[in-house]
Amino acid sequence: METEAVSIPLHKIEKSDRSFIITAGRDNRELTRSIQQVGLVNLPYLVAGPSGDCYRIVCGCRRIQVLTELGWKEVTAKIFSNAPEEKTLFLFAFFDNLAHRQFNPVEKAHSVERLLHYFSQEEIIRSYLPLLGLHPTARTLADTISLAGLEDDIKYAVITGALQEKTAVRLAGLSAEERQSIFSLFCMVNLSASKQSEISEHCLDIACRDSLSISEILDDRAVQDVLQQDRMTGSQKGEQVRQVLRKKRFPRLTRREESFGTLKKRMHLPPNLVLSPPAFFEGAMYRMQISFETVEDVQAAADQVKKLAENPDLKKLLEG
Amino acid sequence: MQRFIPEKIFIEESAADLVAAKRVRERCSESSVEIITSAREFIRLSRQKAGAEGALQTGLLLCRNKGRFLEPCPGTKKPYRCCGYAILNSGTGCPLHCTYCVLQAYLNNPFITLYVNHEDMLEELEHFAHLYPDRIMRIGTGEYTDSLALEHLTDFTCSLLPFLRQHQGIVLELKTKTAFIDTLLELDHGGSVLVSWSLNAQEIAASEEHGAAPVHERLAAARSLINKGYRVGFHFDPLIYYPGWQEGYRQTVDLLADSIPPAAIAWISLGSLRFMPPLKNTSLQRFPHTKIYCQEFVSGHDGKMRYLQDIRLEMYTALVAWLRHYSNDIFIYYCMESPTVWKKTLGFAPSNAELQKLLDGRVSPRIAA
Ligand code: SF4
Repeated sequence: METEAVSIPLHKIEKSDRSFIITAGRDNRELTRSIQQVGLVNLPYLVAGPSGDCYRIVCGCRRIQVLTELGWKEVTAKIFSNAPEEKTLFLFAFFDNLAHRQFNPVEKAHSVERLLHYFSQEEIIRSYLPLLGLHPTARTLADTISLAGLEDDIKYAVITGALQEKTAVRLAGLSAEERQSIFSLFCMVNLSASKQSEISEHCLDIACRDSLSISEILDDRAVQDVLQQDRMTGSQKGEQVRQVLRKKRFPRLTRREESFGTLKKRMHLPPNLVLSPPAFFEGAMYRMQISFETVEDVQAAADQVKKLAENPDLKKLLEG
Repeated sequence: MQRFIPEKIFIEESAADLVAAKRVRERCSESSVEIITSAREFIRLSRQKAGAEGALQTGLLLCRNKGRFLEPCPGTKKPYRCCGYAILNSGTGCPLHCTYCVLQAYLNNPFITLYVNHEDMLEELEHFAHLYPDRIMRIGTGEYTDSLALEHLTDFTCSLLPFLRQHQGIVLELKTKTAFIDTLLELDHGGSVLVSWSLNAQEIAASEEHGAAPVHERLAAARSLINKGYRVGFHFDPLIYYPGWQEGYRQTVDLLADSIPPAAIAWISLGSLRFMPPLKNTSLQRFPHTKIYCQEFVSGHDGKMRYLQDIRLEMYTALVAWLRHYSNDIFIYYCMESPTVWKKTLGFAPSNAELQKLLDGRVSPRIAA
């Protein structure tokens, strides 16, 4: 494709046109420093708009943005000579970007969304998903597209890693209002990616089981009480909210855990004897762990275990 | 309930001239046909195109089974008990589309597929029967499909009968949720075929077993077969915990009691909903309105999600009491349950070998009802 280097006034570039733009959530600080020190090394690519009076960006949106911020009035850009098709221009931008950097999840989503204008799903799955480092399956395609439709603040959280991609895909299936409810919670507390995912799942399951909206679940008094605690850190609040929601999601399991805790407490076991229930109370096999350093420790522990065998609380515990 | 007729049949070139393939073609005269070179490659390309997960394929694939037809039921890990059933792999995929169907998560093939090299299958069965002449064996086709959902296209049971008649120790269990029994009514089965129905609460059958027959039709079909000398079985599996489950399952037990004489029942199994974790999302994508995954599931010793044991015990205790009230003589067993559950609800916990023996004893010697 033939291009010609031409000096273009920056105000003639349509900065809001994103037809060929894939870039999302990139930090411009290094680029700014580089332009300040050595000027523009790589020229942006532009194509004349329909009226011929303004230009659309094909490659180099960040460069144009930085130059504008730095107060430049003009830029030397490569202009495509005989207006190629949109598809050709998009592929030019796509492969140019692909050659220079790793796409973040949102950039992958934008690329796929755009590619769908020009290719069948089948072609994208076969030829383009592998180029983006994605599994060539219909499920991956659907998940990737779903990210493109998310609100900007959520996309940004995905790019920065504040929100796990898998959780974002799950949120994409909700109404905008429901999605914002969960996302606002994530902004108020500190949670690891896996805990975010767990909380989202709990909310969705509770909503489904009790026919409630996500907002109704999160507006619940117990959740709000935690969020309004001034003296708790974000992480402490996150953990507390997680516990509140877990209890709502698993009422019988948590009741069982609590009653185990109460009975165990009443048994007054010494610290070197640890009694544990079967995982999730599945089966009937309880465990007792003895820690010891000396023969006397073992004897003392054995006496304790003997006493425990006669404790009516142990029977109660085993009977569930 | 409608019988499955594919819009299109894909036939692997090397299977096109086999008797079973020709029979299916004849019975689907309206369906278009495409001959394909390799089923494996065809499946791979189709998966790429539509995705195996969630694709509701209306096509039927006829091909050769290049592996073994007979395999032990995968069962599950210890400590859960399994019944020692053998799977006769007649094909994969099912047109009934139950919300909870395990096939959604572990089959890589989006097509309903029938293995049409029945000659090879019979040869393998003969070989096995020759190796273990005295062994009692319960074999079944209901693991990777519904045993009767495609019978109208294949006459599969009929083609197995000569073999079954020669081998007294082998009993074929057909597991189904359909009422498609017409092909079985006139068969001279000699007690070699046992038909069993999966039963559920009627509202669950209606909302989660999409292409299946209503419960009363399943029971009417069982009754018709009993009149033709068949023994039958029932599987309350998967039991689903939902608000009103007591009423729902109680009604189904009452329907069972009203229509089936206990003496005709070889066994009744109980099992609660269980699934590998990825199934939930796959299923929710296909059936977003289902509520079956939002109850209290925990990870079992085999990695499968199961209801909290207290919930399972509550359901099983109720079901066992209702069934015992219907008849004290019915043989009840659990599918993939722990010794704890066995002991607490039935009072004993057999080993896998003991359970296998107990079930074998229910079908051998062959007795027609
Ligand atoms: S009948 Fe069985 S095989 Fe068929 S969809 Fe339902 S669960 Fe799956």
